[in-house]
Amino acid sequence: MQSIRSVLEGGPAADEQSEDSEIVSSDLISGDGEEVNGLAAEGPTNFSRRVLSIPPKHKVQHVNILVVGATGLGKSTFIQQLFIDCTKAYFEPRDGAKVSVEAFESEDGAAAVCTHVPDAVHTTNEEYEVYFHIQDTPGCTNDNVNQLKAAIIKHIRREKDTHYKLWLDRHRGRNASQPDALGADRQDRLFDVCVYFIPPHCFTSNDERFICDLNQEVPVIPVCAKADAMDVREREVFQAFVRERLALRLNFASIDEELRHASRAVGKAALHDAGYLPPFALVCSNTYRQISGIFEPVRGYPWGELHVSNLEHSDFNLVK
Amino acid sequence: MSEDDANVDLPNIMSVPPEELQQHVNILLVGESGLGKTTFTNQLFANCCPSKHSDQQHSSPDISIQEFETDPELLCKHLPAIRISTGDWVEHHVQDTPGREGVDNKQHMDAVIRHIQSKQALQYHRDMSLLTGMQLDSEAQRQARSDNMYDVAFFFIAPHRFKQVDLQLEYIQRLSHEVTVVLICAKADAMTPSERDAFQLHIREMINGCGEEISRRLFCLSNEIEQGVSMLGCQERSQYVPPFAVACGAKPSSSTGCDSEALEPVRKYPWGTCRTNNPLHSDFRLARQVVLSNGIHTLPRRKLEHFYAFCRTKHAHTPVTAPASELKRHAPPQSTIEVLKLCYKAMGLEHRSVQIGFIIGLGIFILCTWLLASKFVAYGCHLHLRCHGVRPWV
Repeated sequence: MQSIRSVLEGGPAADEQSEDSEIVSSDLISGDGEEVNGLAAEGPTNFSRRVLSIPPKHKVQHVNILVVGATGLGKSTFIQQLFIDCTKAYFEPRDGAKVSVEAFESEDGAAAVCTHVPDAVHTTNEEYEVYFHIQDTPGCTNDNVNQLKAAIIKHIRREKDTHYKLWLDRHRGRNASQPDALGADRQDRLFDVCVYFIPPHCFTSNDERFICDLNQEVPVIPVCAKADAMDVREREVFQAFVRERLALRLNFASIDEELRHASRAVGKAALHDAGYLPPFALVCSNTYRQISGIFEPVRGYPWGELHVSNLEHSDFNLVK
Repeated sequence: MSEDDANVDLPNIMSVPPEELQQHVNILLVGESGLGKTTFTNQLFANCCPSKHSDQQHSSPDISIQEFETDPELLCKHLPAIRISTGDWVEHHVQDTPGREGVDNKQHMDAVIRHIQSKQALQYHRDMSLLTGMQLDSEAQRQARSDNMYDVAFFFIAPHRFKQVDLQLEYIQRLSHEVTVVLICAKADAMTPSERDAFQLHIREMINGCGEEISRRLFCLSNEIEQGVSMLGCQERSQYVPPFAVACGAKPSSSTGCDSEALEPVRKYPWGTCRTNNPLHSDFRLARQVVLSNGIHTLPRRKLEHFYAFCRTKHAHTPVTAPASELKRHAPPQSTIEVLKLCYKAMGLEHRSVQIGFIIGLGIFILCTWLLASKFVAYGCHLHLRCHGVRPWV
């Protein structure tokens, strides 16, 4: 099994497993090398600050990601797994299910479920530091879908207004001496992307309208959550079904370059050449097993073990 | 139980304890779309029915709850009769419910409860008609089987709804008042063994927290489960209690490569193959054994208990809520003409001329009777007056 680092740098996906492997759940992991429950974590090298392969022309300091979907689809696990190898210490993402839709409509309510990744990620040329901020949202149900959609769009526009207000203040000389603050006081408030979680086997007209309305405000990447609930054939059929429903209203050509770069980064350029488009089949896990000295997220079933990093099993690395 | 034992084909007749059996088994499916209700039904009867019936459709028509209330037959599947070990034939009727808009809403719950109660009311009217000797018309006879009530309702819970089970708990409670409910953890192949056990434990704790009566109703098949576990020889897991964690395969494939009529349903993943008949992979076989075989005597008895509770409630409080057409047929007569029509029916007078002749004859009879009676009364008065020395009028 190869490390995430080598995968991101373009190595081939590996299928080998180490004999000396142990399954450890994420709450036992410490990134600072201390022994946890009798298991000697090997210190920051296991979860050392990885380097993301980022195209040099994307010069941003803050990346704001919006995560939308029903409760129980693994949004928090996805957020945690997205940055677990980019931070020094383990961090707990804020769960959007803990706030109601009414509370989310207020600025404080939305800020309460926004996770600020504690450590910056460096670009390949070490020139820029990128800080990630993930805005979780309350769980979407059939009863609250319209209210939630309105609340999210309101929040996006409110952040946009705040962004431009801060930009104007900065360029008019107000608060010019203060450096850009991180976290909740950051200057960059525009959302870069929205990841929309689609339940397995269930893509309704509500989901379609939600995605299309959100896409008017922010680029949306739909993902098929809990993709391990679908076998190979079902996954292909479901992805094709969702792709067909969204093709007319979502323009994936606008993110074609990002998709091409991502496919090459994970060593699957052929995927992009074959026209592999969202929705991506996503499986996440908060259970880790040490394979070849690296803790990899896995899901163990009686009939086999799913490796989240394996592109044959999950598109997680591609989404990342 | 070894891997090879799990691959043994299911018998094409069900082994059932020898007691008197009903002829119809009515099954209700409740759950949101995409949880595999149709696949579950197909696999339930895969080895008992001809393959063309079990694989007839991959998914039920996508209709709304309003369309379901108007015509539930759109989602009803009537399977051919199955011969059981006693030699009797049993017909299964599987009624699906809409799941497009989810099931955690009051509208869906009320509609399904009304549907179940309408079946109970239909059965009540049918039984009363047989008792009173009144014949149902042809439409009602076509509509009503000898048994219309539901023996069991499978309630499918999605694994990703782990945190929203409390929203469905009210639904489950209300449903358990009307019919025997069997809880199913759908898409169990999406859960690791630890997640599956935690999910089942969470649901059981929530149900136990609702009170002893609710948990007694929902866990009423514990004896049948024990029998099923011993019959199937699947004691690998520590315990088997509802909800059943079920994974169903949509398309059977040959497991050994040889020509075999009964193919084992599997789910193929890049990381392995889930064999749905393997007790370590899925509780499907156990659920099937409990409901279709071991529970074939228990479920009708429990159905009658629900029916008697329905009848007692209806007699005590509210009028019977039969289907509108049934209410119209059995409503009390509102006018003299309707009374006459009922009399014609009772006497078997079909033709209009006979009915008219009957009316005329009845009229003449009443007239003659009145004249005779008046004559007798007048003569009686005449005698009375003569006795008292009064000369009566002439």
